[in-house]
Amino acid sequence: MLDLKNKGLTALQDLSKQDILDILSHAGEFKNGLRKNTLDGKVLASCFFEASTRTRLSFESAVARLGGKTIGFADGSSTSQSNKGESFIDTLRMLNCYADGLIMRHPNDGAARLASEVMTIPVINAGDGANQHPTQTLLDLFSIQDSQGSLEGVNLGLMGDLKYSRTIHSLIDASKLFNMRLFLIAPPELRIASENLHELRRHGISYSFHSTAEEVIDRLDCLYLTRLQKERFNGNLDCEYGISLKTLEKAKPNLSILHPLPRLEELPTEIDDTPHAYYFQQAQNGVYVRQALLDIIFGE
Amino acid sequence: MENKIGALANGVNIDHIPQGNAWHIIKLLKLQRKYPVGIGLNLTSKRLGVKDLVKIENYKLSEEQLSAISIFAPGATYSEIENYQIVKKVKLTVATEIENLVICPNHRCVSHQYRSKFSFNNEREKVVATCHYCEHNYELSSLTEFNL
Repeated sequence: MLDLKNKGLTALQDLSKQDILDILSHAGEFKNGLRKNTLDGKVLASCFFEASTRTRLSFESAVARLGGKTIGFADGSSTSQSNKGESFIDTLRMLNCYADGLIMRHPNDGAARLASEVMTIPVINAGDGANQHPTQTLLDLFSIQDSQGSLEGVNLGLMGDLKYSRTIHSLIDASKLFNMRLFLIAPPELRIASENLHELRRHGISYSFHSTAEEVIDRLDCLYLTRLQKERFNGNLDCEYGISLKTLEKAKPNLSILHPLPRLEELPTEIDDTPHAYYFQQAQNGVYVRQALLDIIFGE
Repeated sequence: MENKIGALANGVNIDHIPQGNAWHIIKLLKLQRKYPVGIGLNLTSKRLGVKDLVKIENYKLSEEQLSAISIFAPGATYSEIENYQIVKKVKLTVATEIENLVICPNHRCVSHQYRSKFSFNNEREKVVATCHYCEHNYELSSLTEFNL
């Protein structure tokens, strides 16, 4: 097992391929009920300087299921940093005195790296600005593996904001480790940046561009959709964006549809009742993956 | 051109500074009110086309100072002079890591609340600067704000 114990996790690239596989295997044991409480007596600070429903609640659920306790806040507006001008560094040093570990989301890029250097307790990055959200990528990988039986050689469709989305970029980074075939589906305004393509070519990853999911749906094992952040492009697209039941007519039986949620019109509720809908299981997997990570870092 | 600023008896000569960066070096070394300084701006250069030049009398730079100024003068020539003779001459290469000098151009970067730390990769054709915290990559020409 990898040496994360008492260290924490700030970025996905801090993990090797084997580290990732070990965490996913550990998460599978939690999903199958093979592991029990390991955080008895531990107090974790769950500090979300920026609001997040799924990430915060799944982390806090994971801590509770492991027998630990959380302290903290759900957004930064009620802290002394916000109300009394306390510096971020002082806030971190204070938190260091109260908890055995910190789970933190912060609006600034690099905040988790900084926290891990200032604090002596382990820090888990629950999202730092547009930079990293490693546990989201881990749960996405777990969901691909869980739905397809393997990560190697999966035909993965990535649909949405390929230019700016942190989630998509992290998945693309991870896909290099598992020799996935990428189908990049996006409106022209939101196509992937050339520097990312250069990286894919450098790693020998096969990819192709598409405007709609219909073009490739019969080849996909997984289709990963994301919500468009309309503030990025003034909300005006030249084409419709999303999928429908009609999109799935030629889908392979094993196709799983993933989405980090929250969703908007790109993923209509009519999809929910199809065998391809996997996004709520994906959200539940977030608890198992975070249990696994917490157990590895803080468990006895 | 260099003679217009005068020959040095003792001190240092920093030549082949990219145009416009001499002021950064003066500020970084905090020389404004301490040592006699000669500054050449917009001088003709075979290598650079146009260059800047800095001469400082009765002064030597430490290794740390050389590392720091290298970000403004990659490829520049640093010479130490004693009794009109060059006793040391080195070509500056960008340091591999510099702390608390470069202000990260990413306004969302957490380094603005603490201190900055940049690493510099000299292996590629162009030097790539990477912020230790937000992990953004920059060309040197994109770094325009400094703690001076």
